[in-house]
Amino acid sequence: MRINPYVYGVLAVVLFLGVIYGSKAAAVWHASDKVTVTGEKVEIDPANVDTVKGWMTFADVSKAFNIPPAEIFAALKLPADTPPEGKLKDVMRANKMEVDDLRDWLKKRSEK
Amino acid sequence: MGVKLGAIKRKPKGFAALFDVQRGRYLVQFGFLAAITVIAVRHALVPEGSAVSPPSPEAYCPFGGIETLYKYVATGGGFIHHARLSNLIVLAAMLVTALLLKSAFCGWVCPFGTLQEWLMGVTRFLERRFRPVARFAKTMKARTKGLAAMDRHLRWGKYLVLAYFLYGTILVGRMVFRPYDPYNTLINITEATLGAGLVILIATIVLSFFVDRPWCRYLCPLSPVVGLVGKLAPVKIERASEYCKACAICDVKCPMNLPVATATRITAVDCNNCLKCLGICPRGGALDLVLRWPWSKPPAPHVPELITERGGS
Repeated sequence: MRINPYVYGVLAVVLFLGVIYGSKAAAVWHASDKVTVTGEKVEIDPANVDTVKGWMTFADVSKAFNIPPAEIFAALKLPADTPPEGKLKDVMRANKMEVDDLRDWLKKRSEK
Repeated sequence: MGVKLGAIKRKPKGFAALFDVQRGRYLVQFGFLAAITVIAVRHALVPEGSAVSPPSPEAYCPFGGIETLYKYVATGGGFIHHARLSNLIVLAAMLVTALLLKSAFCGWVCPFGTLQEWLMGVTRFLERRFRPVARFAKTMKARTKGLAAMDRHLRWGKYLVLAYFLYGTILVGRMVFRPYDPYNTLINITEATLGAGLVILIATIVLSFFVDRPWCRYLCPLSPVVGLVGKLAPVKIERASEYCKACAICDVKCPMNLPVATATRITAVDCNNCLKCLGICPRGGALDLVLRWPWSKPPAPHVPELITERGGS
């Protein structure tokens, strides 16, 4: 059976957007890493370093893991005057590092 | 559409002339490109920590879905960094589209494919309008003929990228491809630093003026996923050899340089279903989108009947 190219184009859009909007209608869609599926703010779980996100601050990490910011800065060789309110991804990137480097350090520290 | 099979198609008039399939496709592409641009700009402009927190454009990328799929299944709902549930949903949308309509995602939806295609469109426009540009392009084509021969081999690059991609996400548990991903660099351009991602993005943009969809053709790891799933799709482009006059204009028009004029059914992974071959084909019914079971045999090539002389015996 031949398919009209216009119908093909419409079907492509309807199918692709249908799955996305269908998931939104079914309340399955979740695109934020700052709030949970239930709408609560994402917090750090000290037992799981993967819950540390790039948009969080050193103050958040310090509070959750009970580590003074100065110790974190010294371990990661960051300038001592780094503001604890600085976003992790911004500070790490400015110092040519990734947030994963912080996660790795936190993981090693918790395993000691 | 009232086209006589095998006859020369009549020039479209009225609405059909004004709004042909390619213009419709460009409109759809523009819609998706505009949507992701708005999402990226909103995300870049709204300060972090504000009450309104628009999602990152990365949340709408099927790449992220593939990267987090293993962890999601293995841990029963976990995600690797930078991936969210929305990535898996967009991946599902892409796979459903591929399963039914082959590579419609690549040819109609993907904003990065659109950008590359439109950059090549700028070159084609300049070639048509300015003779020196056309002459320069012709000279370049002649001088880089050797490179064109490598095209077939370079296309395997995307399978290597896909393998690296899967190795990283399964064994390392991180988005190992993220620092090299030009699309990710583009949608996060305000945060971009000089690195591999930015270099690959600039190289892709520059190459796009000379080669059709260079990223899709040689390195995009989504392309083999869509193409291989698309092999199961019931809708494919078919050539009816009894109506085709083998003018091969479809081969010239195909942005992925596929041999449409000699194929019976287009099942190639690289075909992005842009339907340009259908639009350019001058013969009614020679090239069509056909709904057929994927495992059914393609139509047998037409063999002209032998004209024999009647014997007198």
